Amino acid sequence: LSEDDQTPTLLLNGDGVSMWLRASGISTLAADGGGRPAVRGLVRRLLRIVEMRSAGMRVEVREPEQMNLLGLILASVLRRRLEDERARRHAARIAGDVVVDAAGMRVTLQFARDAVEVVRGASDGAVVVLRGSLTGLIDAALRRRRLQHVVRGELSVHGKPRAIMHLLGLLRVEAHP
Amino acid sequence: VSPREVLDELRRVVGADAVRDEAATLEDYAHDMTEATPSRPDAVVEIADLPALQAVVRLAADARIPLVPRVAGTNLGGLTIPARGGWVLDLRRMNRIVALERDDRVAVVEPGVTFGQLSAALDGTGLTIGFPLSPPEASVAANCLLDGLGNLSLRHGAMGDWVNGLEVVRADGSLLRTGAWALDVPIPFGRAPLPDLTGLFLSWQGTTGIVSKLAVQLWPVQPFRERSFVLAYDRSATLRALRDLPALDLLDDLGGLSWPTAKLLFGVHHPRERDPAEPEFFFYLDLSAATEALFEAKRDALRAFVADLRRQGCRVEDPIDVPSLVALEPRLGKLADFPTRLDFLLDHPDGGLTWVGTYGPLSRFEAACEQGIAIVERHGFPPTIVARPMKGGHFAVLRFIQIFRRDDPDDRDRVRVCNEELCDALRLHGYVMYKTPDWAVARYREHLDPGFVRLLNEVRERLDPGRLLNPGRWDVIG
Repeated sequence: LSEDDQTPTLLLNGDGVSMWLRASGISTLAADGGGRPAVRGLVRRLLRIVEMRSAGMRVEVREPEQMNLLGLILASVLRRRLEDERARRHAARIAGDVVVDAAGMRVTLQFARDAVEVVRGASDGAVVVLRGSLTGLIDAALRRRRLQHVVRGELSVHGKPRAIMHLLGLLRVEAHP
Repeated sequence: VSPREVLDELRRVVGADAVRDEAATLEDYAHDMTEATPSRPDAVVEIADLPALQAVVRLAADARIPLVPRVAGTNLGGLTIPARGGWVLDLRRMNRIVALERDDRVAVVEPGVTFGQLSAALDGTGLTIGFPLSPPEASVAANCLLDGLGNLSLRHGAMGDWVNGLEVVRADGSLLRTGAWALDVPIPFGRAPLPDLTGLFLSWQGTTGIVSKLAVQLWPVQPFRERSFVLAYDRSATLRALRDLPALDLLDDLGGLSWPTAKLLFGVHHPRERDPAEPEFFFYLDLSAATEALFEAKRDALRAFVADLRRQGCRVEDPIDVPSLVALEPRLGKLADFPTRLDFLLDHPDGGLTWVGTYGPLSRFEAACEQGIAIVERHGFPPTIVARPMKGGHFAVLRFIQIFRRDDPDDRDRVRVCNEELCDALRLHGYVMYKTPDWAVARYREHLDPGFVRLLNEVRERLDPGRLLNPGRWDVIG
């Protein structure tokens, strides 16, 4: 499956699994997820990537009137970032919840197939937990002084390494003076 | 003479196209964004120049027709609603920048000159004027005459202080000049040293005369400047910043905005609840300097101040610069470039916007703020607050902004009661409404010094014996 292919067609054969996929505008999306768990997982991930890349992703804030500032900032960043193909690719590879905690303000980003939902509070079992001061997190998004914040204990990240990598790739913004 | 004949005469004086009395237009001028009771004018007159203004004032005086001067009508006090009918004088076409004296740092403007227009004219001159959080179409003269504030008010005070002199059309259509300008000096350089009559027209809301030209002070633009924001998790940090930073003489402006403002900026129309862990206030800091060394020294001093706040137990983030904030949310740029249009307030779907905006002593700020928050929350409004120290910390602004459903009579009543309670409570802390709405004047009436009331009425009787100039405003008849 080519990373840059906008309309992938994929055929997998092996261990009782077959999948034929055409994702041009999500006109047809079909898969047979039988077979070994590892292969079923691969099929699911591929499906997810193709869906996100071809259809885009929505960002929804649950109960916006009660959402904290951190959640609003994250939703704004995600909305703009997910207009970008590469950022969508990062999002597609984050399977599960991400918890961001800025000085006690907690938000869970629930990554689903076609949407990211921003929920106030921290969920259990997150694949990544990103914690720090708000300034530290903002600097992390701007890719500056990351090491300094980590050393000073103002920024920490835990979780699955690949998910962390994709999260940091997703939550990056550019400051234009 | 019948009203129809007067209107015909008016059309003859200013041109038929300049007089509008169709229902839709009258309705547009009958209300503003606030909860103030609508009241239609009998006609709207577009004034293009001084001779037309004088002629219309003379005609109105003869026919005993009330006059209400207006430019953008964006004040939040119902000040341009024609409470007694009459003619609204739309001064937007009187918009000449008559003089721009760079060396003397003064501009002479007609009342229709807007902040957007003056900003464009000053571009590249090395000069600027302070900008309020009003839309670009707001009038420079109106904000000065109503003693509003701008983004240089920490350093230079409220904008009434920036007025060097006025040209005024009196109720009989005659002209006068105030300040040194009264001596026909070439440059209106200041109010002194002649007896200062300018005050007869500041904060009088057009009840003593209609200003046709205003000389206003300009300020140099420094080559090194920065606006940054500090998020404060508790009120005390903001209060300390408001109280202590002015004394350090580092900043051009400093303002505190409460958590609902941030959420409105992010497009949340009805912020309802604050996460206890989120910042309660953010304050913005404007810093500028003529040299890089001085600029860096000021930045260092600011960082030291923030560090000191932390040592005192205040929870604050490091200053965040505007490019970083805008990278996170482009809408935050609305708080960076002036003049600005705060569309999240002005174009709110509920349609109603009002405030209790006060000036008062910094020493009583905390108590006033606490009580005000309790009042607005009791009435079901989020505490949308703007706070600023003024004139080097000599006084402060404390403003509670309410968004409400303008089409809903119950909501109008709710906001009315809330504002009245706020007005009374803040007065007891020494906080007095600026751009004072007539409902607030009525509440202040019994507390005003009798000598003040007497002289106010004598002045008004002298300057407008027919009570035709913006009647209903500052009516404190003893």
